Amino acid sequence: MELLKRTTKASYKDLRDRDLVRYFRRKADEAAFNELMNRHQVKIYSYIYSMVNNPETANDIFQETFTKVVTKMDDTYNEQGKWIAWVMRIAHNATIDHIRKQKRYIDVNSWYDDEDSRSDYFDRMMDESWVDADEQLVEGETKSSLMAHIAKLPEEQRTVVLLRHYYEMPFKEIAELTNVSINTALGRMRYALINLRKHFEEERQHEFKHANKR
Amino acid sequence: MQTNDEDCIRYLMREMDPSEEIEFERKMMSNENLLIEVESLRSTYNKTKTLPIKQAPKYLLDRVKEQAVLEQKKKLKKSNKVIDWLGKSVAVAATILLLVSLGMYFSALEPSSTTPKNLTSQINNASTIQPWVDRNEIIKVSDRIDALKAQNIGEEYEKSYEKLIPVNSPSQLSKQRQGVLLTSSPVSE
Repeated sequence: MELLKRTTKASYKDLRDRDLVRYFRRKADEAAFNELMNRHQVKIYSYIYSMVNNPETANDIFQETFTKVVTKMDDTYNEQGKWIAWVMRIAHNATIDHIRKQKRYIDVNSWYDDEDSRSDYFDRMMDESWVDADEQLVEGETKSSLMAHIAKLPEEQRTVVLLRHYYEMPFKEIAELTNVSINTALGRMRYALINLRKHFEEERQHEFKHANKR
Repeated sequence: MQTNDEDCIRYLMREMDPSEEIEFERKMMSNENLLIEVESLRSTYNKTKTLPIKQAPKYLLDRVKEQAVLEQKKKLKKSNKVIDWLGKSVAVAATILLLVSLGMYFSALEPSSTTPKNLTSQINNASTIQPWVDRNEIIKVSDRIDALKAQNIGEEYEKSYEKLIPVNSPSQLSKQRQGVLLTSSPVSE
């Protein structure tokens, strides 16, 4: 019996995503779903976490993503396509929805503080993650400076960097996922790297000044 | 060939064809600024490779798995119910169709115009019908009709013979009238 169990577990590991999805869809196969989760949950969760930079929000978005995955699977998932790319699209949309909601909330509150401001609120407002990351950096918490710098990037640049890092997604797929041309996606990556370079440089100068003071 | 800004990223991300890559490297060798820009971007990009990997909490994973399986089971149950309902509906429809067609088939087998009652009335009606016949040219068979009618017919035959006129001088007749005249109609001279 133990041998049988071990064989079954091993065979699930050998199966492709699309076969596991088929088992889950047709038989609500728990083991198949577990295998899918084991393969991809780290990337999905890391991406969401890096985008929002808040564990509780990341948990909510992660759960929301999988609720949508299960409810939409029969209607919108084509078994010929990559399952992970499809899940990633859902995770990305859920994350962006959340970030935009947060921005809208901040904007409504800040509108009364600065009514004369003519700049677009997406430019003016730092999102929740930015604030969190910045505070955490100042307070000397364990968060890495890289995460803080990534969090400071504009949302569309951050998305490209994270999709590329966690999924090694080709730019063609990143462009499709974010509804832009390949050149725009490449351009966003370039600006993201230029901005990060600038942030790293500022950080280095800041550290240098502190060292001199001492 | 001009180098655009996106080419640096395509080169760094290894999204160029081998031939494009060689061409781009050749350009970097001849353009120091391009080389510095690419190496600077590469250095920044390499730093992003240390982005942390985050593991979802175990309780969250368990909850997600449990919910997913439950939801999928519900969906399967629902779809099975629909399939059952459809199956039953099809079975009922097929039964009704079969019964109706059987009914139609059997009703078509029973000929309504050939019931014994109808048959006798048809026969009675037939005896009263008097078809017109040219009695001069009809041949009747005596044993197939009743005796009274046969007698009348016999008399008719007798009368018709009386109407026959013997031909005494055939030369008087035209060529066309030569031969035996079997008709009882009077010959016009």
